[in-house]
Amino acid sequence: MTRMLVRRLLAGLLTIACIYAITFTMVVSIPGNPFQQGQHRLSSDVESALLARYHMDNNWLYFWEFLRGAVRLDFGPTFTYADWTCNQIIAASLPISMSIGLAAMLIALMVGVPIGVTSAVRRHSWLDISATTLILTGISLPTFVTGSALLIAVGVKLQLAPVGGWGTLSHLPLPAITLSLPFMAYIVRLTRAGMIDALSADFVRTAIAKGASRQRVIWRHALPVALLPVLSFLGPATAQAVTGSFVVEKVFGIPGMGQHFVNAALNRDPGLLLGAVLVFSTLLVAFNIVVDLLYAALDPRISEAL
Amino acid sequence: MTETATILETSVLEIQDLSVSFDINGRRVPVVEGVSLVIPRGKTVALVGESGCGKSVTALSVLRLLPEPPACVDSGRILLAASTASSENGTVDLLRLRDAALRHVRGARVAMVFQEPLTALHPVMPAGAQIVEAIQLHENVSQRDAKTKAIALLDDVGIDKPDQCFSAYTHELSGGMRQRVMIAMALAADPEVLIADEPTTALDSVVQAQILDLLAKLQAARGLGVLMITHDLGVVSRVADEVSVMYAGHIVEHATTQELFANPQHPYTVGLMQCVPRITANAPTRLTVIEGSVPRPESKPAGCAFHPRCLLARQRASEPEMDTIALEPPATTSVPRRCAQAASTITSSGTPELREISTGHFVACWETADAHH
Amino acid sequence: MVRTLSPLITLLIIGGICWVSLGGQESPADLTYANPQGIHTLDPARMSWTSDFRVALNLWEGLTTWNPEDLTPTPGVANLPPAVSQDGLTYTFTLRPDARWSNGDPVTSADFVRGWRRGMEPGTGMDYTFFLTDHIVGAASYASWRREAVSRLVPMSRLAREWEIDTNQRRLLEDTFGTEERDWPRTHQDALQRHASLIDERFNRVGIAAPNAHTLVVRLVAPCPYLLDLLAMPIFLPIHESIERLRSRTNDLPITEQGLVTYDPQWTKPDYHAHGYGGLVTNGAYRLAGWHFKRRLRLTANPYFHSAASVQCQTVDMVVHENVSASIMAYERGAIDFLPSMSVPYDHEIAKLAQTGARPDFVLTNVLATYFLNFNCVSETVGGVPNPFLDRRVRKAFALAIDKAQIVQRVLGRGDRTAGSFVPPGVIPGYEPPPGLGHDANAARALLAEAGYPNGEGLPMIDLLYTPNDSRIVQALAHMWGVTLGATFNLRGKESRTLADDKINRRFMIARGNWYADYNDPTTFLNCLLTGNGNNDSGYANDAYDTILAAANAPRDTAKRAALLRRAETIIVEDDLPILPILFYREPIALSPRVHGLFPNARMWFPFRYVTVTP
Repeated sequence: MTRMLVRRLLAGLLTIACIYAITFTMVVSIPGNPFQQGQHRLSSDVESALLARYHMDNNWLYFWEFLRGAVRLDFGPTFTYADWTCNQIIAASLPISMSIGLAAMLIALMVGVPIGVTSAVRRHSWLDISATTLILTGISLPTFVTGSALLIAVGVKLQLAPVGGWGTLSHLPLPAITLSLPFMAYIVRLTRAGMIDALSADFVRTAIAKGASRQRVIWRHALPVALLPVLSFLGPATAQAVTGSFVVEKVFGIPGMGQHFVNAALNRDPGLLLGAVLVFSTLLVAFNIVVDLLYAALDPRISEAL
Repeated sequence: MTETATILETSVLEIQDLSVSFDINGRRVPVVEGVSLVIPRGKTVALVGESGCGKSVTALSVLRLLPEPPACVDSGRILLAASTASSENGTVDLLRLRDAALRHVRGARVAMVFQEPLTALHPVMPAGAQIVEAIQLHENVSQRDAKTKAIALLDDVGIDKPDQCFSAYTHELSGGMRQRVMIAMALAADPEVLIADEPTTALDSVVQAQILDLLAKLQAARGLGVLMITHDLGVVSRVADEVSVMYAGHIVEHATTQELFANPQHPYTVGLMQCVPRITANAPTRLTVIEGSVPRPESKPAGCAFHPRCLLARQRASEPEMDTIALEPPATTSVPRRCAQAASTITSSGTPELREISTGHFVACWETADAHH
Repeated sequence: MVRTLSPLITLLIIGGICWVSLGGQESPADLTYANPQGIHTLDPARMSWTSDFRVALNLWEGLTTWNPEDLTPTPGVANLPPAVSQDGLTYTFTLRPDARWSNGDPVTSADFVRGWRRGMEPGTGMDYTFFLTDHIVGAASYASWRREAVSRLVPMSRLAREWEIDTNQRRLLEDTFGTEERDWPRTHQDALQRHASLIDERFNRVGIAAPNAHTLVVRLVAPCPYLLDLLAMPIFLPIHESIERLRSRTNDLPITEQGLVTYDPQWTKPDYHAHGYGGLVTNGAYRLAGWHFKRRLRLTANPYFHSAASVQCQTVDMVVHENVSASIMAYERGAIDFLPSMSVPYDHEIAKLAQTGARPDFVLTNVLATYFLNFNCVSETVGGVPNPFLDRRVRKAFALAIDKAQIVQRVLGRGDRTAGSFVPPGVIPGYEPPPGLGHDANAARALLAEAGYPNGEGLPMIDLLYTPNDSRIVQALAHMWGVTLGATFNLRGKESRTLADDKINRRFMIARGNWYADYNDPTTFLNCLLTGNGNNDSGYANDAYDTILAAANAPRDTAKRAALLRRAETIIVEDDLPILPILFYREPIALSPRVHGLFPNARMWFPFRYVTVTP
């Protein structure tokens, strides 16, 4: 097991390094000036002095300086919001995105798995058909549609939740639900397929022959096996949910991390952009490793193969 | 129950006139027709036949393990003798039990061992946990006590290091060990009947012998009635007390093992015996086969199901007087007249009935029946 | 065990993260308003966004401030009127004795000197440095002296670290110190030290003096009729001395190794306490109580403010809503009291509600801002294609060929005004801009034929640069020009930063542009077209125009001055057309009827000290 962990960690580091190199190349290639803020043009010597100050006048230099800082978890200054450091911005926005993302995955799991199980157990019933319709809708409808609809219906018409923003617990449910829907749809689909496979397997027949009740067979025998593909879906999905869905944040006006990717690119803010990308890729790699470990822990057949 | 079910005092399980049909592409196709079996206490009854003859379906029907939408039990009774230990009065018809009651029978009174233990055991649960579950489903014991009992069971079935095996996963065990675990699991709740569906087919011959001996030993020790499903006459000769031969959904012959091997009557049984390769000085260059193949349930021949492949039928008909019998339209087939005649006059289903030709030896065949009259 | 515990652990982790992210809860403020973007910076020397000005000018107060209703300059920290010398070049300001910082310290003239100096320094001053360098004696030379020193110190600091320097830098050092590399000041430290010792002495030559704690003397390069208006702007704000604790130092010298004067950017935070700093100290009606990045910024009344007793609105919250539609919905629900920006795709509906009076709380405000198109007046070819706009007849033809009323009413329909001139009329008191060119298709065609492109024949495909927001306008214009003049277009829509890059490098024939006034005088617009001005995208260079604008600095008589400026503007909008004004912005704001004391105005200036909110 430790062997696998070490191998995965090394592979992960290599991945992050490649991502850093590629992103950096793109960042320094796009035209545009990070220091230009308003309508006035900055004089060239001020600009070059600022570039020198931040080690940005030489790309190689900046590459290594930034990397050195990044390893110490210091992503340097940001030029769009000059009073803040990248660290402060990421530290302020990452927990917000994480709480929405984790809450969304929790909802997706807690609602999606039972629906998937029920629809597999009662195939072709009205429950199954409505579940399949839900899957289709959840995957097809874009989040800005569902998010805006929820915002208007619940926030404005029913007045049950605040209209966007962040700060109290009541700001959490709507964006979390919106974000959970596409994931929920996939989880329902995976669980349903996994359950149908598991329920037709021999060991289910053995369990029934032992005298286990139908409920026990479904939840204690079939489901653990059916959930394994869901688990491997969960890894990258959680990373994606956690690092901020730009669309959900935009619709609900939430100061999360997703917007920093987009805004930093548009504002030519290299520090924030690279910082956000590094944080995202680290989270993605970490979640994948965690899922691999969990999978190996839960399915003994896998750890054999490693 | 409106009628009183009758069951021999010596038997623990009786299958009476069981008929099962499957829904294939919208048509009801009979797969098991009028099968009757008696499992005496403490004895092993073997049910022999080729693949596709319906023996597994028969076995699965006992505990109602067939998936109900395609399968359907048309008629018959499966009677389980009154339990000496439990508080139930009288015999029960397993086919008529409600789910809750049936769950009390499964595992606790009738247990089943399956053919392929790698898939039949749970892939992600350790072996010990599966046995413990089998115990705890029927007995109210603590986790620790159940574990002790499970390890004892593993020891009983001949596993070398029961503690290690307890925490092992299915795929970590060898084929033989898995089957032993399966047997241990089946016996965990002290059942009275054990149904073994081709338990040794997936094992190599050395292990096969070990498992069969184990089963025999356990039967003797616990007084189990065993229904052994197999296609291998070697297995039959080794463990069975009585044998039923099944062909195309019907029992065609039933006798004690000795009698059957000494004096097979039904042409099919004869053919089976001849098919077993023997090592002799003058080995024939070709193996004996029974010509033709087992008919599919949808297209069973009318009359005696075996007659298209029956050597006897062809021999006795010197000038074959063939009749054309209409099967399910648009198919027809040609049969010797005597088989067809018999078909229309004797029973409505057209198949030969089991007649006792000597004590305890039953055959369902026109030819042999005639001969003995 | 792991199986049963892991859901519990997961829930605990999620709960913990939620708890951390939510932070503390606060009671609602007296006034809440929403901004579509976060505050970019609260450093007065650096800021350039109106939304940042809005907060800064409530936190600090300069020598002057503006009347909230008519935008005329009113006394701030300084008493008005100041003493002005005969030639109009020396202003002596007396500060009011009861002006105090939010920690109780008195506001002194040294604080103003500190703030203005930061505005000139290449490390701190940004967009609005020109306010200082254009007007104050010695400021421009000080700033350029500093910049030159920095441009030498940058390569020296690199050589000191044994990094590479490029050819331009090498040439600069050679020019300064001679070609022998070892003649260059032995150590970079030497050079730094030498320079640092000269800085203060050089700064003393600048025309800002503080003879005593309550007096500030300013010497101007030329008379500036709008000086009092200018002095209210953030670059002229005072800065408290505690900022010096956060100054970047290199081995005891108060400059960075590149020679820049910079401060720890965290100085604007209310709760930053490194090096004994006490948090942000301001002298305006409010102090900064809290600042959550992109979430909420809270202002509370400054108890030491000289007119604190009259400040009714004790707490003001600025929340950030990037989704403007959501902020409008929140406003409808009463969670937000005031929306200074309502820029949404359905703005025409809002404009209609405002104009018909159906929603009296939506107010369409004339803003001192113009949307226009730049013609490339300099490049011979653009992308290999000959540029027809070098000829002013072509530019004028294009200007005459379009019907701006159609665009404003039919295409946009959000209540803007058509623009014939560059400077919006009716906003700057005492100045009436010329009417500009109207819509005359025949004259347009005649001019175009005269220029050598009859019916548009021979006109190359015209490269038109715009941002996605302008696409409706641009398509309408291209259509009009196509129909009237027979012109064809290569419409290039680009995202704003990439577009800025193209503009700087003059890779366009026509490019969109807009200009928001920096101060209340026509020159804020007209100076953009001076030869070589940093914001002169069209590259227009006309000595006559430059001369008239220079001459307009002299007269003290406002009418004479206005006439000169009008003449200059006429050259732009009726004769030469380096730019083509399209419309003057009118922007809707939403003001809850419960809020009193906020007045819509062209500068979007909203002092909160006069606000009362009825519950």
